[in-house]
Formats: sequence, structure tokens, C-alpha cells
Amino acid sequence: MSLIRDANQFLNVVDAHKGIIYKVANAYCRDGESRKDLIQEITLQLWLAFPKYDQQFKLTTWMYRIALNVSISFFRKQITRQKISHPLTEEILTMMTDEQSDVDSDFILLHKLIRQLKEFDRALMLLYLEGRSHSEIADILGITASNVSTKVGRIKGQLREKFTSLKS
Amino acid sequence: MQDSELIELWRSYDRKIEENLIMNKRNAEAITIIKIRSAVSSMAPMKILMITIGTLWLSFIGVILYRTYSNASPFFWYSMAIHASILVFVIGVYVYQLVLIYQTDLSEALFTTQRRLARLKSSTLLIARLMFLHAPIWTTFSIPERIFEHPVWMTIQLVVTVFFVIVALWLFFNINYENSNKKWFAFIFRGNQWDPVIRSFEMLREMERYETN
Repeated sequence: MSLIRDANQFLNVVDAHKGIIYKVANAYCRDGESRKDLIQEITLQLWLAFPKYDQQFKLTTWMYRIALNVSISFFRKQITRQKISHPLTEEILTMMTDEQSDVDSDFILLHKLIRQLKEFDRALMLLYLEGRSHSEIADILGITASNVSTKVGRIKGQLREKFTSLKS
Repeated sequence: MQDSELIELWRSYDRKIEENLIMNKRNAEAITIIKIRSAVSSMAPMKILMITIGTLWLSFIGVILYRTYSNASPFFWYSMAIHASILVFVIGVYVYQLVLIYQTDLSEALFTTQRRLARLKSSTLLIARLMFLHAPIWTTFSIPERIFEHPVWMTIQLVVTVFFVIVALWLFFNINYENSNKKWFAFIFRGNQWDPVIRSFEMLREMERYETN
């Protein structure tokens, strides 16, 4: 009974914050098939960690930490998980429209530039653009808020520079 | 481009996701019923196996060393003693890896978890270095004591052993991240299984730079 309740609670959490999972996976995996696997891996790790979720942390902080940790590890192809007997092949999250349709060309360029950033810079920029405060970013990454502030300023400068030179 | 434009662009993406992203409940539900261990903890059984085999082998050598202390050839005895000492360090590295595996928690801060994972991978190279370090003992453990009666034989043995010692020491001190782009390094550590190890060194460097700059 408790497991069923937990599962329902978990599914509600995933549904309410599915954008986090999708955006993190999309920032680290360009290829659709790999992204599907990454979303599955993130969801699985969230489920495994769900019983240990510490309510002193914001739910979004907890989700970002797991999603980013899994994505960076996945990106480095270091995950050696035991084979599961019935691997899931279906998508957990689906975009109803084509990802590139109805999107500003400037956004496509911005996303491309973000994907070119190093893993940690990418995580930092993603969190900044998501509107997270410097202290929350520091909490998710495990660095100081002043370091976040310095890095955000520097990466934004680089992005602006590249963006302008590619646009002109 | 202003900051506000940057954020507005991202918000347009947010809106698109908000409107079009759906969760396939049945597929997400399937995740909650499969029996699986976390990616990191699934590495533990192999480490435990290595520690068990290493400890059993070490105990066996210990018994041999104890029993043959008074009558074995000193070449054999000291070679096995060196082998056992290095094995203690190798087992120590596996224990260290096991501790890192059990400490790793994906819900911890990104740098904490990634540092642990990078250390876990990079410590594999230390095991390789220790294995190279004890290579010379394979040239010494079977030397008979009567070798001193044969100067030519003794000279050949000495040349071979000194050569192995020099190569082993050189490899032990030179197998490191700084030399990972050298041809000899790529020759020894070629293959996909070593790529994550090398990448983990880069990751540790990157984290160090990130925290100091």
C-alpha cells in the first residue's frame, strides 16, 4: 500500500517537474535516441533516490542535482549498470510538436552555444537561465555563491560575444 | 545582446515545453516496478570480489612466507614478501574504491558526486601502476642460491633484473595524467576501458580550476 502511494506521489512529482528532466537531458544529449535513454536513466535514478529525499532541500534542488549528476556521468559514458531483464524502450517524456518548429532562430543558436559549453559551465548556465538564484545554484553545484556570480558573468560574456559574431 | 533578451529567449523555450511536453504515465510507472540497483552501487560486487580474491591470495602467501622463513631461498622469500607488500596496497585501493562507491549519492551537490566518481575511475590507474611496480619480482623469485657460483649466469640475471627494476620504476612514476597524451602511454592504455579513466583526470582538473578561478 505504502509503495503504491509512494509510486503515485513520485509520478506526480515527475509530472509536475518534467520540464527540468527534459531540459537537462536536452542540454547534455543532442541525439534523440540517447536523450530518450538519458531521460529514462534520470527518472530511474530519481525513483531510486525518492525514498531518501530530504525535505530540508527544495524539491527542485534535489531534482536538478540528480538530473545533472546523471547527465554528466551519462555524457562521460561511465554508467555501467547491470542489465535489466526487461529494458524499457518507450519514451517517458514526449514533445507533442517538433522541437525545432515555432522556435525563434535566435533560441536555436543560443541552445547550440550552450551545448558547446563544458559540462560544468553548461550546468551553471542552464540553472541561471532557469531563473535559479545564485545561492540555489551554489547549493546544486557545491561551489560558493561568489564563485557562481563570477562564473555566470564570464560565461554570459562569452555567450554574448559568440552570439553576436555568429549573428553578424 | 542584453541579459533580459537572453532570459526572454529561454522563457520562450520554457513556454513551448510547458505547452507541449507530456509524461507517458504508463512508461513512467514501469520505472517504479523494475528491480534494479543504482548505477554506481552495481560496481560494488566486482570490487568486493577483487578484495576477497586478493585477501585470500595474500593469506596464502603469508602462510608460505611464515612456513618457509628459515629454509627458503632468500630470493624466493624476499620476492614473495615484496609481492605481498604491494598486494596490500592494491587491496587498499580496492577498499578505497568500495568506500567511494558506498559514499556516492547522486542527490548530493554536483561537484561532490562528480569528484567522487572521478576519483573512483582515476584510482584504477594506481592499481595498474602498482602492478607494473612489482613486475621485477617475477625475474627474481626463482633464482637459485648457486647462481653465485656462475658469474656469467649471475651477470645475465643481474642485467635482466636491473632492466625490469628501471622499467617498473619509470612506469610507476611516469604513468600519470601529464603523460596521457604521449605515444607510449596510448600504447599501454589503449582501448575503450581506459578512456573513462583518462577522462576522469581531466574532470578532476576541470573541477580544481573551477573552484580556484
